Amino acid sequence: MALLVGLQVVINLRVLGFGRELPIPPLRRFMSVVWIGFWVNAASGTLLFMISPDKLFHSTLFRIKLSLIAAGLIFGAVLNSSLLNVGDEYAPSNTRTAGRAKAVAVLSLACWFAAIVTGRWLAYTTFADVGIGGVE
Amino acid sequence: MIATLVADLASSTSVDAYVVAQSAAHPILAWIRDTAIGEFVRSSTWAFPTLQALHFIGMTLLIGIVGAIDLRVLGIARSVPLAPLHRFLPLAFLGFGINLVTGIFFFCHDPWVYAFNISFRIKMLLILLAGLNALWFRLGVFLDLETWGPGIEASRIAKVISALSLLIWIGVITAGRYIAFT
Repeated sequence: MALLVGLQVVINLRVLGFGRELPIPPLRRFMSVVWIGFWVNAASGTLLFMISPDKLFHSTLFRIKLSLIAAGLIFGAVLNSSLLNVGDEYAPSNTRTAGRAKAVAVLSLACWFAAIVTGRWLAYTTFADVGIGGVE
Repeated sequence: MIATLVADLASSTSVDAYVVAQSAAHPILAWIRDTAIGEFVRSSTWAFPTLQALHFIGMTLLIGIVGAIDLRVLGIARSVPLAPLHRFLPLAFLGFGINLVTGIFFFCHDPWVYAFNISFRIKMLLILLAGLNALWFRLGVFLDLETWGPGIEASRIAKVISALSLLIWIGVITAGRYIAFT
């Protein structure tokens, strides 16, 4: 998750104008690591799901979390295709991004952080975080 | 731990005696437990998981930024100039600050869980190591910030430090997760 969300935090903050000297397109190199993070979490998440599939499947909080992840992936893909994947390896720095791109970056950050929050709440409503099998 | 004990022994009259004995044995931990912070975290079902979510968000700031620098040094995103990436570091410190504060809240929630927990001790040691490793990078290797432009390959020693940094932070996350299960 540190890779999946953390590296996207860097990219999104740059899109929002933080550290403007940093050229944007080379940051796409980080996206392959973002995907490694995503698949590690998808695999371990599937195993965690199998602990209590019935309970999770019918949980509204779980559905919200998965929706937030799906939305986060879409916003990430939008930024990736519009700003990162433009084929300019040694791109100029100090570029400004459009207002629309900034809006997408804000939504992306909001989705990932909200996914973290719902994920933590889920642990306590479903597993109480200790003693696997569903306490409460 | 106390919460569990209280639940387990709710019907027993020995629970008060147990807490009194525990507090007498470790007055400092008892004082930490009885602070307003501890009371606050125990007062609501939602406080602890919400603070944990903040702790995770702080972690993404801290390790995301440090990890991006490490990956650049290791050559995964060599076309990224290092100096402007390094200017994100204050946000990594913000992440560290968030995690220090939320971490103190967790400790006050139930000091006995953490004070004697081997995973917690390993985690604290690893954070110290990560800090020293970063100091080594900054003071020993990374003196000429502006020369690390796009495409410039880092020195071998810088790569070793960055690889160590990534491994140590992965260790911090792992030990942190194990606190709840040891």
